[in-house]
Amino acid sequence: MTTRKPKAAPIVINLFFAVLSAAILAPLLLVVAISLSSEESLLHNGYRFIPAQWDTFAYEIVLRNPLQLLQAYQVTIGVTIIGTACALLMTSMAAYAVSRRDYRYRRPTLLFIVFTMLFNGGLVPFYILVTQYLNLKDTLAALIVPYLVSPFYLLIMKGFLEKLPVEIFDSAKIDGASEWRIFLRIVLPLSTPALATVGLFISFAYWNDWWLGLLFIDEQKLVPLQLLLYRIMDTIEFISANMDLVNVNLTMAKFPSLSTRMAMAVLAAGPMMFVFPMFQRYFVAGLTVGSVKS
Amino acid sequence: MRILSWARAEWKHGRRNRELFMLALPAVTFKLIFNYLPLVGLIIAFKKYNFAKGLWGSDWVGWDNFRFFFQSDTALRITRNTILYNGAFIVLGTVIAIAFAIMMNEIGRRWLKIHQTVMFLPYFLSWVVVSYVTMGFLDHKSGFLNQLLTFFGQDPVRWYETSAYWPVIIILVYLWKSVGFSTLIYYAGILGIDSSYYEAARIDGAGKMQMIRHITIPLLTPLVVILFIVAVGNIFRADFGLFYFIPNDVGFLYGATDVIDTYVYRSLRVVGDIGMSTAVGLYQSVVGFALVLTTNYIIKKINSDNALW
Amino acid sequence: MYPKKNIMLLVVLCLALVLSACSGGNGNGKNGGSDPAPGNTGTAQNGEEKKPAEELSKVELVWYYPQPAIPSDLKSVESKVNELIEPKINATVKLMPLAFGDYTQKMNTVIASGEKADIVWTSNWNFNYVQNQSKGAFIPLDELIDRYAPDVKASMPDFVWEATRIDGQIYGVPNYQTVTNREGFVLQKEFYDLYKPEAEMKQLADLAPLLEQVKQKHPDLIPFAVGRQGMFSYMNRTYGLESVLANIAVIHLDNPDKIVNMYETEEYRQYLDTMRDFYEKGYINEDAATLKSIGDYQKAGQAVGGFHNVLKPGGEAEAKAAQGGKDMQYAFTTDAYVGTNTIITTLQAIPVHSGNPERAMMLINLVNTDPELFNLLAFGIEGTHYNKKSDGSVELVPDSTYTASDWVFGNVFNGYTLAGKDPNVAKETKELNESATPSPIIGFKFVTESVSAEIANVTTVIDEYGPGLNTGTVAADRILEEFQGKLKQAGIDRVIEEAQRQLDEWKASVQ
Repeated sequence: MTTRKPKAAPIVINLFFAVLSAAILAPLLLVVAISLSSEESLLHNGYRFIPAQWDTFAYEIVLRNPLQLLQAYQVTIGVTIIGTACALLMTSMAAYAVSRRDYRYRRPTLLFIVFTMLFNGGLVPFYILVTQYLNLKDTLAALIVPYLVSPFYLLIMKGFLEKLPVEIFDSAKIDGASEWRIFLRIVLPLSTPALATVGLFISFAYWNDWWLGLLFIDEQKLVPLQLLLYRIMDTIEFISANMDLVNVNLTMAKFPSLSTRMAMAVLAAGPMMFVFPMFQRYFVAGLTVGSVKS
Repeated sequence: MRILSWARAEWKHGRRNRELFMLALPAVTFKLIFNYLPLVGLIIAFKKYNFAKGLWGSDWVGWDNFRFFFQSDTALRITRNTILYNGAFIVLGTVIAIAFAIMMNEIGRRWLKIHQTVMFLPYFLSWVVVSYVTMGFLDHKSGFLNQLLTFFGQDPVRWYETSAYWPVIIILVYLWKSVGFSTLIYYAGILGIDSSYYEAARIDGAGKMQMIRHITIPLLTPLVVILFIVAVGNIFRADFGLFYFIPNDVGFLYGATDVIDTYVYRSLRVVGDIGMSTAVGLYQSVVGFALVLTTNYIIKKINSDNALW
Repeated sequence: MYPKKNIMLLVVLCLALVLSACSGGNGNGKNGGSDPAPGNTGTAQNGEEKKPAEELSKVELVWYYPQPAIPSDLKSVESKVNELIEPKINATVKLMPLAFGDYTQKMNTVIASGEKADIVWTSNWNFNYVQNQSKGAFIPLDELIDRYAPDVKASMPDFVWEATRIDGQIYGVPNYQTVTNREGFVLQKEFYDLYKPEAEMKQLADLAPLLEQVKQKHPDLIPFAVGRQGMFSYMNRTYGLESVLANIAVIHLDNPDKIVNMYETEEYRQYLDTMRDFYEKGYINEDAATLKSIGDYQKAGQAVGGFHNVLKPGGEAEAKAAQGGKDMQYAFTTDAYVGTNTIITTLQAIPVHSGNPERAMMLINLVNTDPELFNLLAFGIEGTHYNKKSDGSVELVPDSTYTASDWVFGNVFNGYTLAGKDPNVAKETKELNESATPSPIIGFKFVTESVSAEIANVTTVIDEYGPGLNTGTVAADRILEEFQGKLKQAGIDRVIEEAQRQLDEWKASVQ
């Protein structure tokens, strides 16, 4: 449908999105501007889009221990890649099964899944399960396994897969293909935009997570990026609020807490600006049924 | 005998569905372990939890842990706020996201990439960071809005002390942060629509708007229903970060910004009772689940193709 | 399209992950619960006490405590610590520092899940001592202290121990430091010297002349910086009250047998009127009711005056750093005093699931009696993390990979003084500790469990009305009555009644 279209509409729409994008971007620029302002000027002048006094001190603080930061990036990247691959696979397999209207256990399975979206047993049993029964404490698996199947993404995936025309399954089955084969050879290739979208969401969940790290990681080498940043922030806030309680060099008192927080947001979200376009490559209209059959 | 034949028939069905069942099995097993096993923890809602006695040994207290929530005279206010905000999010979020997604489908790829990326960026910021940005705009001395107002000769507004503005502020901030996300879902949904539908429509001489009305929107409906049902299930749960950090936990604004989750957080901050927090969570779950079942039932009555199951 | 092999590999991998998770469950299920370790019964066996360390079987203790930052070089300090303690008590320790901000939540999870922990830090402000004791988190320590830590017991005045008792038993060993509080104004010295009124400043209203001067002559500064909590909870003593349950219940010092609702007191009303007056005259920052912390104003050096409830020897110098480098001056409104809540600010407890309570107590004993061990924990390794100077004080190396808060570990009077800090502070603090006026109800602790539903609701009412009133932003005439009514509706009277009942009981038991 993207081949021929009237000329005027896209320009108007483009213009609309340009204005919208600018409006959305403005607060983000503020984040960057604050991260590059000196603490002094923030305290005295409030926030400005163009810093009254430029300062990269906030970044220096975060980058002060580059080895640790690199290690954390490594952990997070590894967890995100492995986690997204495994989670996407498990999610789409199950989503395919429940998207098939002729699957006998479709209703119970869906109910089973939806139920888990609403009920959870709370932190303590979950913690006991992961640490004492699965023995995942201080392992990378602790950062991956708990998020493998999210009911929300599973349902979205199901919504995407449901749109595949039933006829192709029928004809494939007449050709003697097994469900696994249909899934791998027909469903997956036909659903690239769906896989890219859900994969993107899953990868964000892994990328942004610090909570699993907080609960299950004591080993310094396995600390993921967001947890590291969260801890640096926590430290700065605590110190600047309780300077009299802490036995540290008093220069710590000059730690710019606000600009550091913003610098961290930039460092944590920044890489996603490059990851996002990678997924966008797959946002193309699914191949037509005919091309698969042939 | 009856049971036996039933079992035999079921066995046959099972064999026929074996492959699909195996496909779903990993996810189902996973949920069983990670969600259903820990559910035993819900009994804490009916217990006075004691570390020494543990989960099983702690004393039963019946409905005592629910008392604090239902007894408070703010229960009505926070429930109302929670439902109204979530309702607004559902309606506005869906309509805007679908409109954007349809529009995005009409523009060239290069610009699309840029717009999408920009719209998605706020999604990466934590609510804490967003709260500082909000304050940058609303702070009554140095905030941009008040600077703007003074520039035009108006009186500055004490945003953080006037609750009347906050429903709008909260909704705007929510949309700003989430619209890229939901637009993307619907955009991917549109991409998944079989292009032969449009070809056929074009041959029949249908215009753009007609195609949108008669092809795009109907085919997006199942996806809308899924997201709608998910949202309805969570209508009693509010996004804690949004409602706690953005209004900066200011007492003057509670009338307009206090929701169940922030209220529970504040009230249990001092007493720190897991029994009580579990109790409220359980209440939210039960109501949410009931709503999901009802909604799905109603949708099914209207059009069984669109129902979630 | 997709290489099939890779996909299958992934499927297998994921399945393996899930299945191994399942089978892991079967294999270790039995270890899951709280296994009573052999050491648990040790307290009852009198034989063990005389045994020299070598005959005790070797154990590893786990010690949880909060720190501002998790030091990157924890491991080398830990192994040094173990070198020191292993020959003495045949135990090693695993140090588990957590960030202050995460401490309560993480400890709740650790204790609730029955995970191994032998020593846990607790206090009245983070991972609450009384609350967690009432939930059964800790074991009583009296016997263990008498047997394994008699020196520690002797190193602190008796009233310190009294303050830790709950139902007559000690559940935590205090990390001995300053145990007194003293309330007063903290003012920028420059303005204090210039505008100090003739009369002594003992009450909030006495500050008015000074604030007026600052307001007149320095319109860009904030005469009196106030955050959204207001001041009253920090000024209890200044108004002749003492807190029983923070922000809710107080006693009058001249009638210590009667617990009253803080918001119904004469003094609260007085405070509100003074604050309203200050606010209307522009002494208080306009955004007080919505301001989370006055820290930013202080850092910018804009806050001329403030109030603080923990003024301590040497504090003026420390305050300077927080106040944008301005010299600060204290103006005391009370004498130094001690009460339960000024003492139980940092303690070590032994959780119920500890398998080795005796060894844990031996370690607590060592930390509090062996300066070498204490200094190792507090400052790290000499030469690597800090250097000793000729006058006996120590200096941290720049960007040290091990920094810690000493008061989390043990008796701070055993520690080095940081270079640049007044060496007399320790002595002054100790003297003050022993000479301070004790509270009439020292040792009493309100166990809030039976009224937690009421407290939960009362807390939220205070959150809503408190900031406006306590900062003078809202006039008391209009709102105070409504506030008091809402508190009653939320059940504050039941809280007061219960507190009174417990106080009466406690009074009877100590006499």
